[in-house]
Amino acid sequence: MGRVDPVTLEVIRNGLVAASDEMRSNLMRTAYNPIIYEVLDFSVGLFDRDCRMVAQAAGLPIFLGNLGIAVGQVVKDVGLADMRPGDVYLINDPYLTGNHVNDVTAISPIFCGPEVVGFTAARAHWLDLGGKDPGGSTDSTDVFQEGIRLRSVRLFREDRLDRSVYRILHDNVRYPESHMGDLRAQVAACRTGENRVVELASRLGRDVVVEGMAELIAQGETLARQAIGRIPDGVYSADTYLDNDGVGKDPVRIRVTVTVDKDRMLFDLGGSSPAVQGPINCGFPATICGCRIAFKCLTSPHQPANEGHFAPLEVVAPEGSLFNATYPASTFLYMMSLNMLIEAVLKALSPALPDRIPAGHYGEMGGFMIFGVNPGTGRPYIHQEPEGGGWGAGAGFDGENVMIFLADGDTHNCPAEIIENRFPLRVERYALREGSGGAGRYRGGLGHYRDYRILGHDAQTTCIMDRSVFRPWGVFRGHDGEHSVVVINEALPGARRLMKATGHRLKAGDVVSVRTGGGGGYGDPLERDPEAVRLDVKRDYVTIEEARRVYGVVVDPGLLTVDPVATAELRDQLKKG
Amino acid sequence: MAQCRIGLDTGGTFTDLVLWDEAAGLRLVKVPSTPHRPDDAIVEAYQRLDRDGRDLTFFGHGTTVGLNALIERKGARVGLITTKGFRDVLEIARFNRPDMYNLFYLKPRPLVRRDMRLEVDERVRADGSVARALDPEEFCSAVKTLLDLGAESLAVSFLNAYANPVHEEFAAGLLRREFPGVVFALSTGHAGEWREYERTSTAVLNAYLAPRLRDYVGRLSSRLESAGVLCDLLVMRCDGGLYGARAAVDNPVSMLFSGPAAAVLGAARLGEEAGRRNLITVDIGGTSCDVSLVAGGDIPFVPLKHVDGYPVQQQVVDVHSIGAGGGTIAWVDSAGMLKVGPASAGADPGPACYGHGGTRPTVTDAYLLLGWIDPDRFLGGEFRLYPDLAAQVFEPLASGLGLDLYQAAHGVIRILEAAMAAAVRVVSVDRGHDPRDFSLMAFGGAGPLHAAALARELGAREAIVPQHPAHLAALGILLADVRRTYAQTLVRPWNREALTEVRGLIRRMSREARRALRSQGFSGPSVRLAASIEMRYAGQEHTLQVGVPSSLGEESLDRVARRFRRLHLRQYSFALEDEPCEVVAVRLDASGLVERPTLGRSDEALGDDGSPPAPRTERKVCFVPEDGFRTCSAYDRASLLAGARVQGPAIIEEPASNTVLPPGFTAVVGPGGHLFISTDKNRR
Repeated sequence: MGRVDPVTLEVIRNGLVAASDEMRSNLMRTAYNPIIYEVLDFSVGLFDRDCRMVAQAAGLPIFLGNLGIAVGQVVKDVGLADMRPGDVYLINDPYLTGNHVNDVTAISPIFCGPEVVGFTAARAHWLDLGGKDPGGSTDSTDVFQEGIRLRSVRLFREDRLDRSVYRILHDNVRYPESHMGDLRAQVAACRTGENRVVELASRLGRDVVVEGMAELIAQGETLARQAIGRIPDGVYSADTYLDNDGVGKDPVRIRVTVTVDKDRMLFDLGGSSPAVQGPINCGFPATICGCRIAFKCLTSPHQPANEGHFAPLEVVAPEGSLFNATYPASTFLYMMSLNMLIEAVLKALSPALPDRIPAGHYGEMGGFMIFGVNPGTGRPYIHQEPEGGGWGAGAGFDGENVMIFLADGDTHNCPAEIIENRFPLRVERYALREGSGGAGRYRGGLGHYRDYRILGHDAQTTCIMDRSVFRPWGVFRGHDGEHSVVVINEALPGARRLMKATGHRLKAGDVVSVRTGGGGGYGDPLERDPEAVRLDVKRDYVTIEEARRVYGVVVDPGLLTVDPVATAELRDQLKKG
Repeated sequence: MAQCRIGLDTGGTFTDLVLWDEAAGLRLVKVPSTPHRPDDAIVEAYQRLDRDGRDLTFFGHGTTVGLNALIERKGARVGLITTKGFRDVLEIARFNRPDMYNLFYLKPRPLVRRDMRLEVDERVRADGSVARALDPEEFCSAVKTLLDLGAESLAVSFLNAYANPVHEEFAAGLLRREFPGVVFALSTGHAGEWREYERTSTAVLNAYLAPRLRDYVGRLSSRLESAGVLCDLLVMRCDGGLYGARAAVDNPVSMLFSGPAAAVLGAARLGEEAGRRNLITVDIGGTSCDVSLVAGGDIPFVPLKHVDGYPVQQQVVDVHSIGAGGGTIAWVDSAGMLKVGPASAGADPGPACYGHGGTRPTVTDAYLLLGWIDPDRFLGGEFRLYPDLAAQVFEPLASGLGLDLYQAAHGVIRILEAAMAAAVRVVSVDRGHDPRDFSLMAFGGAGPLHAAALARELGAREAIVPQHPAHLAALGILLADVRRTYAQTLVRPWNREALTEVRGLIRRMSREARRALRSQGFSGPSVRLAASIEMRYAGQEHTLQVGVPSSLGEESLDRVARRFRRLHLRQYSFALEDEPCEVVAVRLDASGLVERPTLGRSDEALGDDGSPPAPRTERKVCFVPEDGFRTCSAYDRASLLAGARVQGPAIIEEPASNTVLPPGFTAVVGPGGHLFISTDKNRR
């Protein structure tokens, strides 16, 4: 038992979680960009004085796993001795803190009297930091094409804004009004977290809170070690590939070797591709984050995370490889590699944990955006949001339809009504994509159609799709899911199918259809309950033809009833053939 | 004629009835709820009064029928008609995964499966203009298909209908004319705000619940009528207003949170009578703790709430709930952390000390071990409790933590109170209020046990335990006004033109409101209208609600903008002087003011004879583990006269609740018979 009694410790934990929740709602409610307030593409957290995460609000897993590294970097760069109450620092360096330049983190020290007791951090996705293309590119080859780098840049000194820094930011991003608004929201969130921790310390005593934080982290570690004990010891490995890096044409290999050794785990990424020219590289901190997501899903998915939960995990990636890319490698689409890395870890462990890991999900999604000049206002606009897709089926259940990928969490779609109110676009369809789920005894979930018509102006689109060759995998004889694709002006002359494109030109009246992938199936489709197949047909999730060909179920097209005799015969025949 | 009224609240565990008779005063009834036929308990409660109902002028009722039908998925088979391309919005939802590391997370199942969702080729633009007219034949054929498929009710939700409901209204006309008797709900029928998923979900829930609510209200009305109740049945809604029961069933989602809304309303009214307009309300029952904040006498509202995973676009009294109440279970996780909740032992088996087979330690067991409740006098002695059973289930918990029994029991309560305090912070500091400016009013069966400690933890001015704390929701219904609310999305830069448009909208809403209230017998001074607009900085998304005068003259242009900035500063800790702001929606709250009974005991009737109050008995109670058990006085609340002063440590008992007064606190029986508790240091 630690030095803080268990009751006080629980009170501290409650207080820290409440503080981070409050930071979250504050940031969400004051932000300017839909990607923050609707989509919730941001994260906030509280850290102890050793820069270890002690509490986080629900948000993006991909931001939470390495916020502590960003805090640590700021402390290293600035030095604790030079920090003052009311300071706010910005950092977005992809090699030192992970992710890409668009993820800008604001960090404040928390002072109780003369001493730093911890830190508060708010990271948000900025749509633009002044790279070569609005919103980012699928073909950038170094960081200079992606935007400016900020490394422990002091924006506030003792609550006073540094106007020079502010002007540099303001003048070097494409949508300054809204981004400066978001930045204010990030700072306000940090202030909120700071105030709450100070209040907690004044109620319970500074030393009690500091020690409590350390004990909470130690307990997180205990829980994680216990959970690893429930995974069979062994060495597991899996390979998968991305279609290409956005610049070259070759597939990019992702290999992970997972070692489970009593109460610790090692993820070794040796054997993965070297760093590539295109923007799918990951700085090592981003890689750590991806590994932590997979690890958390496998160990303690239902507990709020702190740094301790990740202590038993070791990550190794050779320097200069895809997962330990160094300056000046481009990283805008780091998310694609990370999603595949997470999927690869799950794939590696699937045979050992058949009941605890579903089939692959659509989740390579780097994203989709439309930008141009709004003919109504004469001002540039950009619409961007992540896309949901189908999830993999698991033991005993069908995969979920249209849900956000693993590396994103409490991320929301943008309502069509808000898109149409803000941007010169009309959403013409937002629907399930029939037939996109992989067949199986349990069927993979469906992806979506999201169709936009461009109204009264010429615009451009950047799209980031992959996995056309290596599709969302089925397991235990389940089939693969369909992959994502963007289709322009389907069925018209000059129709185009795009996987990756940067700034592809669109004319007024064009229809851009974003189609996301489905999840993989689980188990043999010929063993699927014919009644479940019948309902799938009735709900247009699968066609009558697919029911017959893939599932071996004969459904009457008029009555929508199953013919049991014909079904049994057909299934026998298909099993033999 | 003497006023004679009934307020009745159906809760999860108990059905509470309050009768107020101008001549004979107040009577309270509590009977166990009958979840499968809630009207059984209502009729039972009414019959317990054993009186003639002919002089009743008012029967107000809060119900969980809709909520239960939803939770048990026993609503109607609904058919949904949407704009072409959007039938799957209901199933796609917002595609988020709140449980973000869970590989098996599933969204709430759509209440209308895909084969019961049809599309029609119509389109209204975001600016409200029509891009493609609704074809009546196409629409009617969709209706027919759905009815053939067995739809019991219909929901209609068209994209951008918030900007112009013309097609939904046209569809409603077609339904009434071509399909008389078919129950339907429009997405703009009672909501009219943007976000297609949330609005569609609201319409679907309305259609899902309407037939069940209709049956229930019909059955209840006729049973009450045969029991002798001749006045109209009124229903409490989540916006804190009363509606004629037959009208309310058109908008069932508005009845989903009526109990908590009634309780907050009751607290606000009692507070106002006692001169307390700033209140934090804490309602603690068996399974949940509901907190809310009343500032300056105003009931707080939110425009959206989730129920069992489904969003409801509706003005709802802003109540924040956590799973913390008397039945909440304490446990130790595998890392050795003491945890309290959110699981509850519920009513069956209930806490171990009930002796109904509960095997896990609960909060009520902790109360009993610490002496906070008397095993022989629980619920007025109707219900015996067994301290040895409580000790038995607490033993392993305590030894696992290296604590003694009483430290463990007290630890459970401290953690519970920390969680409750965090919930209070969500509705106070999180929304820009300082708890030190507020009185904390605690009620519900378990609220008074925590009143003093919570007030201290939060630094609130004082704690108040109202009269009849376990009947406050039913009392709130007696004190409610008849209400109508209107909302319309209107996105414009805040300038002279917008001002004119907003003024026009408010006028139109006001006319409609006056007409609606007149039909329920309210006019002239008994009608109160309050207009407000939702504003934000241009480019921001989330809004703040700013009250505006309904006349809205030219001078309002600057005044309203200034008010918005002040609010933004308070709520979010910054305001921008030069940034333009915009209006997003216009709201009107209309109330028909009901003549209110005065419920508190009058001071004159009781007086204070100057001598200290006499305790009923003495018993041993543990307030803080360091002090162990100490002998303290237990008072019968009914025996405490106005002005009486009780010094802690003490317990003040009443049939359905106990007030715990730790050392260092004093309770005074103040205006209205309420207990006003303060620490001896900051007595006012």
